[in-house]
Amino acid sequence: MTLFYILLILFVGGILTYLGAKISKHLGHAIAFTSSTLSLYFHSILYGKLYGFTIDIGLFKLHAVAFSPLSWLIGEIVVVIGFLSILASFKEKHSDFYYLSVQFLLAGMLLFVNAYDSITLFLSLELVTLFSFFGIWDGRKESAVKYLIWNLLGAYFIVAAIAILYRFTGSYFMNEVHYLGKAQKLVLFLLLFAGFAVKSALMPFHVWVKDAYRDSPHSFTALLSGAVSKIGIFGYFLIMFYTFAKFFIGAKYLQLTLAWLGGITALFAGIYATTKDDSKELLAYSSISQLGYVVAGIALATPLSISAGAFQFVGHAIFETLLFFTIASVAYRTGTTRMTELGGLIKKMPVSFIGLLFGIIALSGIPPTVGFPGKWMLYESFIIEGRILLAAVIFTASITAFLYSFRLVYSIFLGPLPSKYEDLKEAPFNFTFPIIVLLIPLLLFGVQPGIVLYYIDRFLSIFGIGKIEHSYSYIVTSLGKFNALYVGIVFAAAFVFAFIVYLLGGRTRKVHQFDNFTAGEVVDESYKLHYVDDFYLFLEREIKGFLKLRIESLYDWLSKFVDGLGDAVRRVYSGSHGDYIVYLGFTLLLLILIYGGKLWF
Amino acid sequence: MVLKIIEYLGIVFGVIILGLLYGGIARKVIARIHRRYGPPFYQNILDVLKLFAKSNEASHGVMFNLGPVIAFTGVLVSLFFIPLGSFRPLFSFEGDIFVVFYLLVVAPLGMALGAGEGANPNATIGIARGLTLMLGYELVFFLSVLAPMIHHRTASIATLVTVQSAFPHWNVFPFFISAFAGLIALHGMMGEKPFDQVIAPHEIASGPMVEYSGKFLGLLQLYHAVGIIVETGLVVDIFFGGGNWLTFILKTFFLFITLVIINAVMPRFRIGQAVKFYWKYPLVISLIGLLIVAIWR
Repeated sequence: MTLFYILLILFVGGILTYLGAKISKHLGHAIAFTSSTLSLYFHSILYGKLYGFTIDIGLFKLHAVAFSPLSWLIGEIVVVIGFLSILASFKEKHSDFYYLSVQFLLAGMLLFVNAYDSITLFLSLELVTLFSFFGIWDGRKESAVKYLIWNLLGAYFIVAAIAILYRFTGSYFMNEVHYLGKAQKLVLFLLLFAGFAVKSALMPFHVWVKDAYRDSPHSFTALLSGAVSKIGIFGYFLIMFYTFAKFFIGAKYLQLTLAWLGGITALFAGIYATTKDDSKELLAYSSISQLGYVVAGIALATPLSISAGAFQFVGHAIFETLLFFTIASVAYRTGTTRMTELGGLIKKMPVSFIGLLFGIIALSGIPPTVGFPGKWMLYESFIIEGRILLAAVIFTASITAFLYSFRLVYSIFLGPLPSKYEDLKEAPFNFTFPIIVLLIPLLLFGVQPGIVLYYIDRFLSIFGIGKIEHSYSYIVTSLGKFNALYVGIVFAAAFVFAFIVYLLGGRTRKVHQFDNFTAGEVVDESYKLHYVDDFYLFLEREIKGFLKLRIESLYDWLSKFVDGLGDAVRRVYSGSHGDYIVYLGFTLLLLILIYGGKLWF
Repeated sequence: MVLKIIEYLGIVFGVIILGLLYGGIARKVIARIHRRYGPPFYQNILDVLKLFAKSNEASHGVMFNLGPVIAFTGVLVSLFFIPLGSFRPLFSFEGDIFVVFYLLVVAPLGMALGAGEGANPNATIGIARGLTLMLGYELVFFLSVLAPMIHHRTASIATLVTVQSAFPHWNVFPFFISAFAGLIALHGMMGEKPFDQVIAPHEIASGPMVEYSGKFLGLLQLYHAVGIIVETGLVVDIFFGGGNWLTFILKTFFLFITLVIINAVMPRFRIGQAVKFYWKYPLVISLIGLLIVAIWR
């Protein structure tokens, strides 16, 4: 029942926070802090246990069981990021309702990853959608509405699938379905997949992400990207390897189609990310791109590729959250997330810089950080399976990651410091604490990937998919071997050696940022020496045609079409009595023409 | 243990000296092609010694100082995962091509970060160009390396060297199309003309190196020296059969000098043209090479 108490803590804590904040802001903060800490503690002690509960709420029973090892893993990611996000949000301006929605959102996500029947699944999914909507609403209302519309579309897909499933099987449980035809299974699978794809922002359902991530409160974006997107990924695992396991493992073409969808998402989102001026928009596209790898991995459905996808989403939860927290701390001090207005902050905010630096290193997948083992397993599995073009697409996507991540770190922290930021200070502890906390798993799982692979292995064996060969520090595939610990050690040793060589040289002196080579020109603040606008202009020029092709224009066309249709229908109701009499006359005439004499007899 | 460490240190020093000599000889070769006399072949070693002896060098901050150190670290780490002739570092069996691919990125990243703090727009333009160029050559290199990898069903460089140990079994003969594309990619990776947009001395004043002097420039020279051995060594291991230490040195040297000779007579592409070139010709060549392997298999 521990899980039930955690949910109770979060629900009651949420309501108490709201009421307490009416009395005093600090009381609200204290309650929110307590409830998130308690939920973190109680969820952490569930490690390695079987847990779950059933409650009867009249019409039906809600079943929540941690039936998959990934449930605890994603649950832990949710509570950790939730705790850090609540901690950071104390320093930001929020309505009292915000803390309630964050805690309800955490409860919804915890319920979702343990949902055992489709009613609980749908209920928790709606909790997640609704309360993340309120979270974004706290930032900007238009983006929240956009988020809600897209996620409702996903919810429609899922509720339709659940209803059909019930109609055919007569059971609300998410058990494996046996007695359905192949076509029926395919339709149901695709409906559920599309529903979860909206949550995890797979193309072409990614349109809401850019606005929602950019405009949501900064600490809430970390939660959205780090935890809420994992809901969709967990949904994929649920339908691919549990509800439709036999069907999906056999369906080679379906696997390949979904894997390509993931690959194309990774590549296109990566290219779009390089063209963005706003750091949160850039990170939004990078988040979509990284989740594309995950989909490509798990959709291929071999033990190695599933491990790769699963490892990648754990990595994504760590580094993407870290990156959003560093942006949150920068935005807290400077009040902007536009990269063109920032620069040179390394001297003022060193901790945030280190966070962002390691974040982008992991994001680009450079060893020995958490970003690498997942990517490595992904390439190996693609090549073992003979999916070479897919491997090439993913590889290109990972090169775009170098491009946009360098742009991110350079534009914000390097380059000249604008004079308006002369007396800037490091962000407060509420922001630096999450950054420091997240750096630990980022490096630890990078040199000891076995800690995470242990769960993935258990998942693979429980669901009868297979196993991969690994220990805490190395992974072996039929193609090659990767020893993360050795890479880490060699890295440290080589750095020490290079640093000794550095110390051998002469002394240095510190110079002003404008004391540099300008071909004899005397420069001051009036010259913009920060190369940030149109960073990759020469690349954009080469791919102009590609950048014009956007799925948004299709949606715009669709919305305009529906709008026009509605407008045409509206014109019928002109409000003038004369028109209505004419309609009446025409209708009668039509009836007479159709039915002829019959009407009179 | 101590002996092992001394051995490794010896290898590192040897590779540094070798790389510097390669660079010096390249300068001489280019000079002779340009009908100049040129510096002595050991000039680069003297340069590094001079640069480290200088003091009171301009520094723009911590990351500026650490940038060259990270760049040097990056190539040293890659060095340990590549078989160098008969010398097989302990770790060359613990990582494979993909590990080396990602380790090779550390060095440019370090240089980019350091140059970024230098706050000179020339440097950043150079880096932005370098990253864009990467979008061109990395994919070609990846695809051309895949051909022998798929054929021999291994991603381990050490195993690849073992299977092509005797002369006629070099991968370059069966996979000559892929090898050709791989060499074009290597040309861009080494930044030789016509792919030297990153440095482009006449446009952006040596790009990322513009603010660096003294020991920082010395470290970058060392990074460049080791980088020559690592990059040509990788190609020699994959396509030209590795070899013992003497043949390894000879092979890398001839490979490098070939690239340098092409470099000496080439103008420079505009960066957009360079990327487009990679997407147009070498990419197609490497895909044809892969297709042949797929059919042959």
